[in-house]
Amino acid sequence: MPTTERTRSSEYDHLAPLFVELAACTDPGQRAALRDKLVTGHLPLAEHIAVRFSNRGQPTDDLRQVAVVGVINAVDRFDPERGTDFLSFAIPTIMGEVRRYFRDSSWSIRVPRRLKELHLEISSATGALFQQLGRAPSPSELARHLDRPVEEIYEGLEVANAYQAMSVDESREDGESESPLVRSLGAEDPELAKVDYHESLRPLVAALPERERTILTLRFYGNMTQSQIAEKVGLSQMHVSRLLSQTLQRLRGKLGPEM
Amino acid sequence: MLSGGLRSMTVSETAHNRVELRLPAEFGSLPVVRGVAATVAMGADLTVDAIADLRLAVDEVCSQVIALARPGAQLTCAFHSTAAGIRVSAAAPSKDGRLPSADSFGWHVLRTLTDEARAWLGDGEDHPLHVEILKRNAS
Repeated sequence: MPTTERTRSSEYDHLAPLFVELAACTDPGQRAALRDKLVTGHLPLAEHIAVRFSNRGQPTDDLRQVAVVGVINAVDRFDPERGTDFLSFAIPTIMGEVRRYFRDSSWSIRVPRRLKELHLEISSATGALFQQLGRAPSPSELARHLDRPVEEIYEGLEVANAYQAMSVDESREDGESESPLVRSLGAEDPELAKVDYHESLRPLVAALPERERTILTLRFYGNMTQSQIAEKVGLSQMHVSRLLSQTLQRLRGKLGPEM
Repeated sequence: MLSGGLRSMTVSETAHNRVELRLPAEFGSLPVVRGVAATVAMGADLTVDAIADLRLAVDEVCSQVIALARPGAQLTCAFHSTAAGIRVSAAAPSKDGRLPSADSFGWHVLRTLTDEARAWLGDGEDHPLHVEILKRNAS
């Protein structure tokens, strides 16, 4: 049976007040409980979206996991004060996450499934712990949180870089088509418009895809950590890390070795 | 008896306390150095932000040294992990005695990613160029 936006809305209406409660809540334990409730309550959304993208050559289980990460990110980043309802914020966010997965999934050819899952788990745990601690977690904190040996965390973190090597040439100019949030950031953030880049860098920065430019600027001219940037642009810390590394390599290639 | 946490800390300290690499001073050596940087940073249990920063910084340090190294020279890259943080120094015989430019974007990147960054020319016949960074533990 097809699900319309209307029935979906009513399906989640009872959860809306919890966002207001979460925004006002300062107790870490209570916050975690509210977050859990919100994530769990919105899980059918992940299911709907995963099903929409199935039959495109990716295993539905993978899509489901990516969509679940999307739900978690959306819950973490949603601000009820802005006046939009959660679904109109979350649906494009989650779809964006799934689309990015399709675009980046060239790595699935060579990376074993176990490591891909580990990567996703670490990726979402990093975001959750950042919320909790107010800073990025260390490998031992991730290990405790996920109840896995720290060696597996090392492995999962390194996989992110294996994946980077393969996607260097592929994430280029299509960055624009992605997140409307990222697209609007550069234009809306007056701080970014004021940045005084290094002379030789200016034309190269202008030629970067919006998303890469935003991330580069926030890290090297806005003094934000990768986790803070991840939260702001709605990507995982690992994804930000990858894009930053690719962008620096690219600039080094253009500026010559004496960057 | 040692607790699990203490024991694993001891293991990682003995394993990663001091690592030194000798490689051709070529850009093709960077992936190896990056990999070692990440391993040392993970072993020191830095935050994932700091681990990623150190990878980028080490990439930059070595790129700067390689760019100013004499062709065919050898790059030495040393990692020293202490309770205070991780110190990385790279050196290679200099091509023409020049230091990296402190006004460059590359140097700005290094200063942003690390807590200390410096470059100098060593004594000795081939005036080795040294670039050294420190990433503190709590950042």
